[in-house]
Amino acid sequence: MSHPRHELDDLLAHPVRFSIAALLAAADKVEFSFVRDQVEVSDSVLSKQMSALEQAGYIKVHKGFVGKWPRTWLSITKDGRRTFDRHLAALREIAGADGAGTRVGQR
Amino acid sequence: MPDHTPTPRDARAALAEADSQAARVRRSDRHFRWILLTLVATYLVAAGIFSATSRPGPSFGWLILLVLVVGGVVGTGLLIWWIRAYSRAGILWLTGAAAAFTWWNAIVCAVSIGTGWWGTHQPNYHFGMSALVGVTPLVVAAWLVGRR
Repeated sequence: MSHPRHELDDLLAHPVRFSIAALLAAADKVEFSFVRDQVEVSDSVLSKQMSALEQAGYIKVHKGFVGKWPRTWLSITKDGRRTFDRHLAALREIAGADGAGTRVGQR
Repeated sequence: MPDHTPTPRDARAALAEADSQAARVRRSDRHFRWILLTLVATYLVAAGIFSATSRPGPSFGWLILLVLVVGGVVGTGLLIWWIRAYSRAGILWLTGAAAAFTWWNAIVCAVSIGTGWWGTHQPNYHFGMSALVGVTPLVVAAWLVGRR
């Protein structure tokens, strides 16, 4: 049997990108400022990591307006969700390798 | 595949982070309860105005319409400005509660008319009592959404 690390995704190994994906995986749509506040990063850091995830096809960025005010919403794609779930399953296997923590992260 | 393999401890920390982010979205869904409670308040205030007068005329009709419009605007405002994240489950709760209210309230109205609880010779507070029963699905949904 191959080691679970082979199932880990390179892009999601980055902690900020992992947090963004985790937040979006639990939601239908999330507004930019909500992601920024919850992941605790600056606008520029979030924009950079968001672009990386969008380029990989993991997330979708929806830009719109509420009255005169611009709003950016993020959502995870089917591909992104599949990759995130696989990444999470691999982490669960690794976490359970020493016999503890197998229940953590089960949504 | 990442350059280094996370240790079981790293993996557990990442899983805990995933759980924590999911919980934040669930907490954000709780904002939906205020929209449901705005609907309850709007409906009850309108019913209260109707119940308070023995001869509802055009002026009260306008007042009730005003309450419904203000309630609608406040509810929509909450939805647009306050909700910054929502899950599919949250949307299902909101739409499910609205649908349950519509059906239940229609049944309450039908029973009130059918049994003569509402009628020209009945006191107006009967209308308010029916409205109180009618909003039950919204109140229950608001309570359940708040517990998510």
